[in-house]
Amino acid sequence: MEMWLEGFGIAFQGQNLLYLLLGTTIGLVVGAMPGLGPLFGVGLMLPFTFGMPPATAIIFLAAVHAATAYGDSIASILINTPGGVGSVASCWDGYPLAQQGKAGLALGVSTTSSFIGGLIGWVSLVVISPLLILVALKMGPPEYFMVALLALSLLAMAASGKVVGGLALGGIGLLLAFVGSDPITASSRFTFGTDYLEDGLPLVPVAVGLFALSQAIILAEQGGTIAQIRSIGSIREGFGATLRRPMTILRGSVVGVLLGVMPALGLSSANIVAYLVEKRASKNPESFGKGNIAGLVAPEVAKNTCILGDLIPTFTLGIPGSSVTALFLAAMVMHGLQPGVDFFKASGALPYAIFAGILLAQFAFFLMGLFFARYFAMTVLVPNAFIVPLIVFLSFVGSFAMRNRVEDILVTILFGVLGYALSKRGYPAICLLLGFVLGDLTEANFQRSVLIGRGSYGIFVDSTISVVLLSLTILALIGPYLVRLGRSLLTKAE
Amino acid sequence: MKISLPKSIVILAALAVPLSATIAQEKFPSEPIRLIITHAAGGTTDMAARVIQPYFQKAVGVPVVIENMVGAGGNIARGYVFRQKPDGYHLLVSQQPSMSSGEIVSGGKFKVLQLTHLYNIAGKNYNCVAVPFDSPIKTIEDMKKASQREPLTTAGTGIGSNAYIVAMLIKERVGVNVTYVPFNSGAQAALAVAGNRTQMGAGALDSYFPLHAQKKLRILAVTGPARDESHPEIPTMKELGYPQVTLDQMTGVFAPPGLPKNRVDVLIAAFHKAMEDPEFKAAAAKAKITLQPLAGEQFLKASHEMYDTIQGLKDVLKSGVRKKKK
Repeated sequence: MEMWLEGFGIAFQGQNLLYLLLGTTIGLVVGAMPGLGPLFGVGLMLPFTFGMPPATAIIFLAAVHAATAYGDSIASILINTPGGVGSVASCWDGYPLAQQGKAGLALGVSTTSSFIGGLIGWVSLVVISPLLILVALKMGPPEYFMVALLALSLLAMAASGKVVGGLALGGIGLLLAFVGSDPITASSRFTFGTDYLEDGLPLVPVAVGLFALSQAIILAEQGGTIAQIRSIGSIREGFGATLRRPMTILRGSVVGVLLGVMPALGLSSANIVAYLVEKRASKNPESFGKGNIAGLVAPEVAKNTCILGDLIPTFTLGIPGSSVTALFLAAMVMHGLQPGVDFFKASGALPYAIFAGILLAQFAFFLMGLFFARYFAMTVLVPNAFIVPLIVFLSFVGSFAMRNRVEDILVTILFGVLGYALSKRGYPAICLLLGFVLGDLTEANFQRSVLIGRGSYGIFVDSTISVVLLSLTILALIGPYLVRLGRSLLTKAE
Repeated sequence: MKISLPKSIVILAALAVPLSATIAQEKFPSEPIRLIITHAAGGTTDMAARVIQPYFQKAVGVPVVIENMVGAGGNIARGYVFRQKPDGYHLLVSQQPSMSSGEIVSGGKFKVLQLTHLYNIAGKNYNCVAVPFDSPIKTIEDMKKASQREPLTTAGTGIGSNAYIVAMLIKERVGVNVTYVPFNSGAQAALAVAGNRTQMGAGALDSYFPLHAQKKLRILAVTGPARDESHPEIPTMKELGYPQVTLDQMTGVFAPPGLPKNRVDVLIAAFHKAMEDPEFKAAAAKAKITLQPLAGEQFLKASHEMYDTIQGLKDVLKSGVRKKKK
């Protein structure tokens, strides 16, 4: 307890608070840019921290980390353009709200949900991380494959009505994920002999094209302004609207923590899965996509819980769960800190200061978010004629900045046109993205399992976890038919 | 401010320098130098570059810009620098022997031995061999015996990576039958071993050690030529009687082929000065980077040896890369 006080004391020092605010501001800006999320924000800022004292460096990065994840949603809600791969699902109900003149309410919901997600994530990081690590250790390739299957079974849900089209798009997404080196044999597939495709199609440009660029074309066509009535609604209402949905918060945070703590999964899937889980749990799923607040709360909570859940293996095991946390680990090692079981024992008050800083970072983005939300929300009142060129410009910057490759912009354009065509026809582009995001997880873990199982498929039903996951998948797929069958039998009996 | 006539001539001359390459040879360097890193920020290659960058910049006298050119296991950056003009403004930071394996096994578009070898910064970033904590396998001999019945499943990272090379050395030179299972990262491979998913694992000591310390897995040996300085309790394969399983690793700076001698000298002198800086040494120690300064010829010699090791293993290493039948 004393250590905690000392830790908070360090975190509250003038310089650290200053960097906390600086990190939050940078995070908000980077986050709001289409496609650029925590990975880019933390990566960009990492070199600047090498000269700082350890606590300041980590607090600064934690602030960037939390605020980029939060800032991602601003663009999702206001202009239907995912600010990063972690906030794709926030568009689906956030943007309809903005269109209905409730941009302020939506931002209030997003800010509150992200904050609550951050708090739940922090508590899991501090209190139950040893327990969660046990889950992570139990997950091997067969279990990951089953998780991927379960997530793919949500495709039908994501298709919102167009089931056949949605499944077909999911299949195409999987196929696109196969471009590049085979994850097991390293042989090149569908690369047409180019170096560019060796690493596969890059996620950020694909997502930015499908959602941001296509959206720019749609907005250009529509003209006028995003909000169909000249209003942004009340930000404060969003606070209450979120808190009135404790079950949604619970479901979102469970998805977020679990996907965060598993090293092979993370941000890009957590928000989508949480949204679809929420839709499935809802009594009126047809209201999703039309401005249902629960449809915004769930992915927002999941996203911010996930990014902290992601830190759990880094701190507890000294093993980074994702590329972002690998950067955190690098920053800590650079400053002579060695995360792992002995992290709290070895370095005095410093680890406590870092955890205090991570908590403060949640408060920082919450307060700044609430303060600026009103001004951000004005975007929806700006004529599309100004918004569209800005989206196009930022989409290209976002796609290019990740890897400094011009080809990535071409990918964005290609998928922008595809996304536009799909949305014109009413086909759910999200199914394509879901298939694409889950492609490597599905394929690589299938191949690994078969290698480990020496060619036998028995390995997939060897452990309890995978059997449970498989049953859930089967249930999810045939469940609706069973219900219909049961109902028709009942009516016949009557 | 008054500018004297001779001074203004100097300034004019300086402005004219970029116009002509022959004059530029008079003063090198006069433009910013780009340090191109094969991997993303935060990795071992990147850390070595980031730690030396401010000190190298101070020593060489022009801005030094770090650029991470990620892709194809580093081959994108290597191919890029290989194609650049040998003007000394494009430098590559890469690891050996993974660069050799990038050329020989993965067919990267560059020739390691033709690159100008400037200066090696860090080394001794060792790999290791591990088994699950409660595995019946206690020694390498056990491993060999156990693998006679059926091949041992072995976790590691992608084909051509150091983990893969270590696994293939053990397979070829010790006679342990292995089924190699590549994971997306060293962390995931280590977790697979810790979770008893594979019977053994190979890869960077840094990935495996945290789980070794927590008694989730056991590291049997490191594969470096000597014990690791941070973890001297772990024996080497050499000490255990398997000197044939030795894989050294280093991170150094390369330039395009044919860099003129005078520029090579300038750059080597600058790196040498940076490496001698006590502040740099302190920063490197804090970041747990083991320095291994090797200049020019010496660096090339060490690099050549690593290249030959990979060349010798060519057939074995390539056997993992299954090509589609045409």
